[in-house]
Amino acid sequence: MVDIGYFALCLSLAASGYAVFASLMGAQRQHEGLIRSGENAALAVCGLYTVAAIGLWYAIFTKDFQVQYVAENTSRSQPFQYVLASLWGGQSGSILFWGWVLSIFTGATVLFNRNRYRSLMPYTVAVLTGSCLFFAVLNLFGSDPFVRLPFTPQDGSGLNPILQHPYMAIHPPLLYAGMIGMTVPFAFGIAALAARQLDNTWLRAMRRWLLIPWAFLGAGLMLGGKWAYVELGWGGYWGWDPVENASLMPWLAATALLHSVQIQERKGMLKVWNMVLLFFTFGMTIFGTFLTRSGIVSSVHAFAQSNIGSYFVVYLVLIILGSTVMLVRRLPDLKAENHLESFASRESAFLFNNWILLALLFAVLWGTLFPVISEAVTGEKITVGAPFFNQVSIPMGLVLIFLTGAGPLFAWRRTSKEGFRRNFGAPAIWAAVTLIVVIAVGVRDFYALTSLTLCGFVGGSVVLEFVRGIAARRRTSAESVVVALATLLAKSRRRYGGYLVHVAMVMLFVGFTGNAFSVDREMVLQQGQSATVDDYTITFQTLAFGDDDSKSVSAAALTLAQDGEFLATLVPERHLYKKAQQTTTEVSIYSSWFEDFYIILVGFADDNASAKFQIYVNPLVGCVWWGAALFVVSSLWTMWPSARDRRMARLDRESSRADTWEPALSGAAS
Amino acid sequence: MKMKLAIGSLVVAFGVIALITMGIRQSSARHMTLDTLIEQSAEQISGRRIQLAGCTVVPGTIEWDEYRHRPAFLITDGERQMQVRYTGNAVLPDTFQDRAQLVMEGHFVPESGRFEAEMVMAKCPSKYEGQNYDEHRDAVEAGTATGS
Repeated sequence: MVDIGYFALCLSLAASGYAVFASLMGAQRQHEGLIRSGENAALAVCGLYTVAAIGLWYAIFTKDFQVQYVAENTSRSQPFQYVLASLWGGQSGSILFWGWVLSIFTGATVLFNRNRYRSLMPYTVAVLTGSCLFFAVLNLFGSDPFVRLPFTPQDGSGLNPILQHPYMAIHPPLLYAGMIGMTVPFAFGIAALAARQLDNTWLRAMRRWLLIPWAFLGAGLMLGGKWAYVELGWGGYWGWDPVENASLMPWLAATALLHSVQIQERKGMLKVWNMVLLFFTFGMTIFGTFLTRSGIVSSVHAFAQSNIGSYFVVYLVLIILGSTVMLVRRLPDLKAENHLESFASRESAFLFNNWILLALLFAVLWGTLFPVISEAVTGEKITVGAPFFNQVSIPMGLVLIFLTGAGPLFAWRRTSKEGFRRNFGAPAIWAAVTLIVVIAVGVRDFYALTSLTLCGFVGGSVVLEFVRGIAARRRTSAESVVVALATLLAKSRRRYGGYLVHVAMVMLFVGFTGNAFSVDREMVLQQGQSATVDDYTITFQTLAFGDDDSKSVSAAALTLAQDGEFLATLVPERHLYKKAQQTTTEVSIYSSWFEDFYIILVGFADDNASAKFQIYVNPLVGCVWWGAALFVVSSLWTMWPSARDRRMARLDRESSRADTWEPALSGAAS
Repeated sequence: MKMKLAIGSLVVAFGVIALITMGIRQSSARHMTLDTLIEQSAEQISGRRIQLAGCTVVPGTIEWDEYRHRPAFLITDGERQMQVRYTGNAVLPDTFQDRAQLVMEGHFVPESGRFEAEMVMAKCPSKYEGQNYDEHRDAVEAGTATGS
């Protein structure tokens, strides 16, 4: 199977090369047969990559330790479910996985668009298979997962124990899917330029294929946070590590793009800006990968010191040069059809949102690259840590959340004084009420007050939008409130689904604000001794020890009470993994609807009579997870095609049948 | 309108630059490796926040306190060694162990010749990959090459 896998990878290299060639030739000569052949080759790439991935997976499952990758990333005692994760747990496997997922996106793009976007598709396929080609080259020449050792080790060294966690089995694939999926909207952008078909058709295609990776990336980021929270044992979920930043940056760029694309669809403005933003989003995914794989910034995450950085540099340069040349050639076709008329308009609000999102991205990028920049400029390498990122991102985040609420309240083109009063009145009252309530419960922190007030404002604005939508439906038909709400959500998915995403953002911000109130205590307790933290009473009962094949466990049992009432027994543990001789902390968390009581067993004295604990009380952290869940559900809802979308898709099909070759012709002639 | 837009973007740009400069002034640390740290004179580095990287834990030198919380240990870059004491509050990451690659932030105390680390990030000795077989392979292949 290993040889078959290797062979399939070689073939997929050839097939993607052919797909690029056939698609481009087909587009140039308007040869339908060649274009179809290119598409079929793209499907073949997908099939071959799947065989290659199965080949490696088979070696992992059968524990073929002669394969170096298998010996390095799995072991006999590794639980079954984490054997799966070994596929992407190491460098070369993760690149194979990357190529495989990319080929799946490529295949899906071909299959879903067999009869759509005909003049765009050959270029789209060429860009996608070109990217597959890059990853196949990277795998075969830079980092080969199928290399065999000249001997067969008795046992492999296993996957790092801290990665052996259910969240770690889902988080990387989601993140990869998000990063990789950005290739598809990018490919549509290049195709629109190449085919000179720059109307709203390609925008619709691009937007749909952008939403998918955007949602994946968001979900991946949040699951990563959850993993860090429950597994790493420092009481937080986001540490501004370069690897985290690398996946946050494309998400920010894509969020900006999702908003500004609407201005182009409606008003024909910002065409160049959107194209640049699209290229930038994709570029950030590759640049981020390069950053974390090349070892130029130090990170706690894996993959330091690798030799594949230079491949990424070449790839990145090709992308930047290629897209810049394409864009410059088509600049005359990207003239704005309208101009900004007023500051108090939806357009300005969106534009402002774009600026802030990009400013935030820039600040994160600057902080991440600061060691490199400062060394180049002053010769002295200066690093910045989490305090820097918090300091810059909090004010910008607050402006963003304000715009989340304010944007939809502005009318397109220009908001009249009267409209301004009508739209901002209710949300402003919500904000004022929220402010009074949070002051009344004793919040004094400036940022926390601002953040919660703004969250109240956004909540008011979303509710207002829903109330208006429902009222409008009920005026024209005798629907009940529930039916009207359901119809709104079902029929205008983009709009109301988008508002649900805004609600998710509010929940996330409320959760982030909770950090302002978190309590952090460290204490030594004798067995039987109690202590109070906040309004909790914790009593250390006993220590227990256990052993199984792969690890030995030490556990402390504590009872948690609040106001004299028993809440739960908490059991924080320490695991010692025998193979890796590595200890992991298993935190114990008691979650109420309002806050988390989070306890870590730091260690215990030799006589087992006393132990040291680290305790965090994290208010509102649940809002982060619930907000994340709502984000995933509502973004999925938003992208699910509604009846209207299907009608539009039919229109796209018909229009592309009518004028399949004219745009391509003019494109080729220019 | 063009004028207003230009002013708006200037305000945003200025705000962002101000935020970034302030942030960097307040939370920057100087990146050093063991050899540059040892080369520097005491007054140049005492009191400055330093990020120390490129060193590993000397096996067998980790001395934990009673509750296995704040260890003292020796680090090395292969040639030089230095005493480190951990003074932070957080529980050290699970990857902190013998031979772990460290990135630390803290201060150098010239009087004791010790580095006091407030933050320790540790990479497990062989990163993601539990064990590295590259050297084994090269050794075996070299062996077969000379043998034949």
